Amino acid sequence: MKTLLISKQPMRSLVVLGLALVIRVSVPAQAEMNLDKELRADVVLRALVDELQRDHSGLALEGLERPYFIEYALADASRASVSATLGAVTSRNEYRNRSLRTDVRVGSYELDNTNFRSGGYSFFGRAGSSSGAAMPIQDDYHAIRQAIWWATDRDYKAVVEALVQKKAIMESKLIEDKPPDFSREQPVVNFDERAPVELDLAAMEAIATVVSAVFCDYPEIQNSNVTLSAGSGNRYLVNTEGTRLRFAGLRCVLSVSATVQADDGMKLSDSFLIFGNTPDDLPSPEQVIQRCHDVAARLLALKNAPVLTSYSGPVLFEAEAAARIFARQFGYSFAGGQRAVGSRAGPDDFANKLNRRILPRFMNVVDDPTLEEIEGVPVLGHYEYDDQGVPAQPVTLVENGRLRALLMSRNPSREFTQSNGHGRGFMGQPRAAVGCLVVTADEGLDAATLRQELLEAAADEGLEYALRIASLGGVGDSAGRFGGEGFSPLVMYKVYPDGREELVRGAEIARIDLKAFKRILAAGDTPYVYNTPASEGQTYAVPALLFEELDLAKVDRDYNKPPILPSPLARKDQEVTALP
Amino acid sequence: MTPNRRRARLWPAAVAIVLLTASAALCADEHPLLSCMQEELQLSLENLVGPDGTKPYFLQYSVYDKQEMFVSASLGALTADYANHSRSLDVDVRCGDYALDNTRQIRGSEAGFDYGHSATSLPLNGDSLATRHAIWLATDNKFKAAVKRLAQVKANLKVKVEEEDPADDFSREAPSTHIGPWVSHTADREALAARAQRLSQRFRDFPLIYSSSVSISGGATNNLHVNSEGSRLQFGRTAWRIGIQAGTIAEDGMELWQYRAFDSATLEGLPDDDEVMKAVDRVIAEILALREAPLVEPYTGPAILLNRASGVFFHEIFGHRLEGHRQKDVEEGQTFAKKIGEPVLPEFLSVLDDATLRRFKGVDLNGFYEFDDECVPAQQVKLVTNGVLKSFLLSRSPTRGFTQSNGHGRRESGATVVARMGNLIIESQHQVPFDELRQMLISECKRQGKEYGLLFTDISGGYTITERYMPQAFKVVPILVYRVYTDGRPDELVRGVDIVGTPLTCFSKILCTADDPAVFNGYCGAESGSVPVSAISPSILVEQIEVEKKQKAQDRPPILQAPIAEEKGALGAAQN
Repeated sequence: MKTLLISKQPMRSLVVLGLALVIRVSVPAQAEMNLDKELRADVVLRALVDELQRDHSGLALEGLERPYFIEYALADASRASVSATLGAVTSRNEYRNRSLRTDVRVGSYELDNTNFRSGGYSFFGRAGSSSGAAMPIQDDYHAIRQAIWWATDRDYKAVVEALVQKKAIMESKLIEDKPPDFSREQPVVNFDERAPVELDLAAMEAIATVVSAVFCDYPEIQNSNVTLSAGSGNRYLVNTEGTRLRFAGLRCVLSVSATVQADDGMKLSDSFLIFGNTPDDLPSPEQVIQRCHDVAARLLALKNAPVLTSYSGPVLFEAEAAARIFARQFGYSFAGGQRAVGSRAGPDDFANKLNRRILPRFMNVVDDPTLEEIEGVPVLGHYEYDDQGVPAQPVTLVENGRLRALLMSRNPSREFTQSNGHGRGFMGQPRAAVGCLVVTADEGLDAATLRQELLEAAADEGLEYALRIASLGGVGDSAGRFGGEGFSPLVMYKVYPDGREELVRGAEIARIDLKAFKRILAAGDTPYVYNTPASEGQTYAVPALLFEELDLAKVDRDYNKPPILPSPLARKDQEVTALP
Repeated sequence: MTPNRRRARLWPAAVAIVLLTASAALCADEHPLLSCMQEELQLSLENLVGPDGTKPYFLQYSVYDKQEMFVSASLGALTADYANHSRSLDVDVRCGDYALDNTRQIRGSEAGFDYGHSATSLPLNGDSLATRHAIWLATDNKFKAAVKRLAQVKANLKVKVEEEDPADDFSREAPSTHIGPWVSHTADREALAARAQRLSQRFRDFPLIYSSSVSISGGATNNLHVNSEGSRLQFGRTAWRIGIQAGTIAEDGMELWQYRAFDSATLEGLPDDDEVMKAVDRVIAEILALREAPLVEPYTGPAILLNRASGVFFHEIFGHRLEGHRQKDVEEGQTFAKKIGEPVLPEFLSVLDDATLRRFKGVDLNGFYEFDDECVPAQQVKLVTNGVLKSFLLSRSPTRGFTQSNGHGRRESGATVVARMGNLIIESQHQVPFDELRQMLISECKRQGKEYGLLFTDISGGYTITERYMPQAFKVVPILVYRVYTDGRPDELVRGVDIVGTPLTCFSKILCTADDPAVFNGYCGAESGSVPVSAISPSILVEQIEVEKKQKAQDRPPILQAPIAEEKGALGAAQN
């Protein structure tokens, strides 16, 4: 197991500017033997490979191009999910399914049907078999092939048409100079031991029930929910270049959320997620229960905290808050690749900022999915091969504050022609995305020094107090952009020069732009490891960040007042009966 | 006259019996959840008061407990296998009074009626505390929304001209109390999965059928209702279905499909393997025949709709237009709003909806229920008598001239109740044996100078456009249509048929019916969600129906041979 010791030196990556090539010997003899053995033993793999080869050589429509590349991704899994509230199960689901993604490409690596957007529909390959032949969940060789055959046939006909349209648009818009559509990569063959496809729903129910019962002690908590979702099974990736992969195991997520409502109607929510490969990997129920009590206690304190109506000045983001604002700002920006033909350019495109400074000189960023653990925390964004079968590699993105590289899938850009193992998205079309983003600062400061720096910055501005944000809270994941531009931090403290701190609530940040990150004054010496399930799992390891100046203000929202009647949890003589 | 129809004629007696059993009830197997709901209802009624002093004048809690399962197999291999248990709560709060409350349509706004979807998940078991908590919170939310909306309704009334339909917002009804058994099912999912596999295996011999499946689904649903008027109900039902589906693509790219279903209230009531296998074989024969069938030509002329097809036709084209709320909603076409007492069908036809009917000719009816979702007992309603429109399907939302519900306020959990069909029944006094009806079709063709007439043997549910701003057109999807030639040639299957035209004209042109009423069981989707329904109709001969060629999908049939064809080839080789 590799462990990252956060050093003050930026990590050197294997890939600099995406130019270095990973040299691999094409499928050695041992792998060949391995493959034969696996094909004999694994019906799903055999059906995928046989149908792949038949469709590759056989698919052709008169006068139209044949596929030059076909890839199948298949997830074979049992999935289960249990939700509980106040010690009682509210939903319980369990199902077994196999889902298939087909990626059929016609044309050539230089110009194919992808990277094309027309009439609002994007031709990025399609998730197959949603209609038509359903995928068996049993090991029936011909029935599995039937489902693959049908999906491939439909996909082929759609992409052939897309390529014709794309070429027409390129001609009419005189687009001649564009990067190739698909990078050439070495095939890989690797098989994880086949994982069992089974889950213990009763055990999951027991965990969710006992954890959710914690909130019975807190009548002021208006809403609470505990959901445990788990998947178990295997994923397959095969393509016509010779890649044959089987990934074993899926993941399990325990999520806890709770909401209180202040007397003025403001709702305050907090949540946390814990990941493991199986429910057995989760921390003990006692540990999770303790975290729930912490969440509850913090929410109760916030319920009665005064409202911060506005603030303008230095802000220190710590722990989860720092990791999440970094994830939100940069999660998508570091993704490279070309724009689809027919789509518009964005002014914030990082491809235009290469070699320019985007962070303070003392900051460095590396994305390294090969890491399994950071500071003892398991890395959710760890993988050995990305979802296009390219081996994971560390990539130095920012060096001394300057943008040096972008994360690449097999979708090339002008600047980077090869994948650097960051094609993510197994069932959706893979695209470049963060795996494990590690942010470090040269001469990072310890917590005490950082707070001192915060106070000094505030004093310099002539402010009576400074602001420290300890948690963004909220329910759900905000690493993506779907949450809008703003942030409504949950746990904020006014920090006074004498060291006194006051918990406040309510003020929101309308926007943090790139310039604000560039002017970060200082950063901490220890990363907070933030795991999110986005893009098949991502990790952001980010130290505390001290911003020079941010604006916060309370936003008037149309909240209902708190409930009129007291909660049943607060009733004195409530009879508790058992409900079947 | 069938026993069922005799029963139908005696409907006041039937209603009396239902009411009698309802009031006699209250037995020991009451689910403990019911008293929990009752207590919370009481607490909320007594104590809920808004900042301006508004109190709820009506409150109802409805719990829908569903235990469902689904297995599906294709080509002998299982493709889906799952079970699900859900328990959801609907809270209906009304503020204002029966004459004017928060549910009134807000005119001139996009919101119109409030068809919002909001059910609350209740715990599936455990102690009552979590359940009470969920009820408490949902009630608080719903009450606040009702108070807010009542203010909007009142403001809207001040700025708009008087409504055309000045009916009250909520009808007064006698409370219902009835405690039926808590139903459950003990289906062996593994055995059902094996059955679906066995039945679906047959398709493996037919590589030209590109997709196929046999599914078995069903389960138990229990309803619990309490309301502030004193209603207290517990009743449940089980429902099961075997579905057979097959799809292919004709050489010219037209997508073709077939679907057959068997419905039954009990698992034991489903047909045995031999009967289902016969249906599978029929589906196979029909879809392969369709694949080879010629394309339909645009046609206007006489046609027969076979009984079940006619049932779907009446449901889609006629039944939906008799739903009470459509007479009220200003956005609706209101086809029949002012036609009470006027002829809308030929004199020999009557239409009723009888949700109290459990079975017809040995077939369990999907549209049977004991009480609707507003705690009103199911009833038989005479909608059209001897061609004359008599009534609408009514929920507790009164409409011009109708102040009471007739037990047709239905919804799927989470939706707002509207008037819906249960068992729609078409009765005819001008009926002949089917062969005679066929002869009449041929004579009518000759009279109109047509070379052939059309015979619709199967129609799948389509959709009906009832909104005013859309043309009053309709579309149902015929799946099997034959040409019946006047010169004695055998009937000829055609494909690609689309019915077009305007609804009212079509119904005035029904010439005669056969004496072969049959049941179509289905699930109907509308504003208030998906509800189980049935339609019973004899075959009908219409003077004129208009069809056109449907738009075909562009994809051609698959390029490579189906893997199951290769499998057969390999097997053949092995045998040689």
